[in-house]
Amino acid sequence: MVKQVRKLRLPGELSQVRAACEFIVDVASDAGLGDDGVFQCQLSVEEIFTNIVEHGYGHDGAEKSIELVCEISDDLLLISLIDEAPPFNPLSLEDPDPNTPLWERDTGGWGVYFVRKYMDDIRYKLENEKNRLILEKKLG
Amino acid sequence: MLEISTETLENDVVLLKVSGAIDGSTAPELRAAIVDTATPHCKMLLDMQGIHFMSSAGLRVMLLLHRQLQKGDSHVVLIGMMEPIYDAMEATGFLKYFQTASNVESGLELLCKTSV
Repeated sequence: MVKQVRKLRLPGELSQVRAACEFIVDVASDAGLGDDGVFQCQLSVEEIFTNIVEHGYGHDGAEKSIELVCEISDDLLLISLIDEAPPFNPLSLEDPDPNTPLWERDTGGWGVYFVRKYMDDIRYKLENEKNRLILEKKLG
Repeated sequence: MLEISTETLENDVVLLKVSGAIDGSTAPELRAAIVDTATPHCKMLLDMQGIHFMSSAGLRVMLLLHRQLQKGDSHVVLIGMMEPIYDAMEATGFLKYFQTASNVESGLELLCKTSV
């Protein structure tokens, strides 16, 4: 049963990353996660938020929004990031290889890698023509 | 928010001290500071004791730092990374390309040993 729902809608700009992070740190702490869990939620949200601003909105998202919806239940924290960029499923990206030598590396791909590593489940939906990425973190 | 300061220590070692969060919005500032500081043949300590958060935007800066140092025969030691940041650097395979130390003194010692 969902005990609490918290939402925040922000303009799709890089300057809003901090507000998104502060919000998620607050929610994850309230949900009862420890320091590591809070860090992992912050990292995941930062990565997805930044990707939407840079790739989804192409740094032109001031008039568009990114909505964060958090649902806390007894054993689960669900974090949804909803944007109005063209449909894109970040889970379609392949993870980079940590064994690739540094001098041969491309610069991208580590954001979604972290989300996959630190969240318990990730789902993508196209809903009312909006991208919705749902991050699931187990509590306790 | 990210605060950056530089200081020159003994033996021309440059101490680049950063504190706050390295994320998508602050990484460009760190990138600019590194471009200015990581000159050829430099010895650098990157003091990260005050960094409580770093995302993949920070990893991209680390990649730039590594490339710039390799090009210029320079050396860097990363100081005082907090555990989750250390873990992220390790999981992504970045850590094996950097020397690390827990504080400025031990970083200086390491730098003097490797760059002689």
